[in-house]
Amino acid sequence: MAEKKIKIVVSGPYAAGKTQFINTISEIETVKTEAKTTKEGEKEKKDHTTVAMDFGRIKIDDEHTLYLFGTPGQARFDFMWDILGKGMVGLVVLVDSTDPATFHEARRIINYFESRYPAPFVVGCNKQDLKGAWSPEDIRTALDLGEEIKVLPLVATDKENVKRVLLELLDEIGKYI
Amino acid sequence: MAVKYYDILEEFIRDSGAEGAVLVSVDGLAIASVLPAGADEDRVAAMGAAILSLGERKISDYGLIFEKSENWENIAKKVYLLDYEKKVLHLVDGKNRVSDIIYHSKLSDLIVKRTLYGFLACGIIQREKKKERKLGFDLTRNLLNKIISKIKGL
Repeated sequence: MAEKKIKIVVSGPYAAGKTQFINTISEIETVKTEAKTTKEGEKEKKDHTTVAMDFGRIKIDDEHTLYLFGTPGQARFDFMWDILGKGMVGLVVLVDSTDPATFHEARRIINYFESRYPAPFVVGCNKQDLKGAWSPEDIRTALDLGEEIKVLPLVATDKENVKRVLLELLDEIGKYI
Repeated sequence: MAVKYYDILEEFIRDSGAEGAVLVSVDGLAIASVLPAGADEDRVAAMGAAILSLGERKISDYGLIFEKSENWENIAKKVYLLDYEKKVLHLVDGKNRVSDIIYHSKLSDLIVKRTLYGFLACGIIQREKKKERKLGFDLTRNLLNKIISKIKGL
């Protein structure tokens, strides 16, 4: 029987921790398409960056597999968002809670998906373990999100944390079945 | 050229009743201004550019849909709306996308985005509350439960 793919997309601004999020939970070693960062202003933050997508996999049963796709963070790759957004059942938007300068970009990403692929989504406020992290409630205000959207604390290196965010998303998805 | 700009700014002030006007480049430099005495041209220009860029980011997508907020009429009574702003407000109906509003109003992208941002900021309009979200896959309750228990067990 042909394998049926169920797709969840993980998006968010540059250096929000999307690749880490997928790495933490994937059953297989994540397929990464990372390239060395060369742009001034970006390379000070990290050495490598995703250029097409990250790709993690969790086998559900003989027939179904859950795929986690991470989008590249920089706006210049937004053509990939379109490709990845098609057919998704849900979206996780990650933000770096310590970097409020990127919150506007997160809002832009939410606007993008909301107007094209209005699947259920949750926001993960990553790097809550670092000093200076904004609280999820403050991030909700900054992103101008209503009470109906879940804005969750997250440390993407912690498996239980990542699981909780995914479970919250699945709970949201359940409301639309 | 600068003289022409002054004429336009003067005319704008006359028509709108504004106290002053500044023509600003996108990076916040004043190109021309007509301001009351004591107003700092550089500061007004920088503030203007900052507000414009906020509008640009908030209304970042031509596919966005807005609707009038519950008490929009009360707020609209308190603010003075120009004709083109009324036109934009009229087109906010929970169905029109930003691109439709631009098309039907025949106004420029920048003016429409800026106006919508202003409406959003003062609470006359809000983002469309999604009643229906779409799943890109025909998920059954049974399959969802399987996914949930699989993730719990990881």
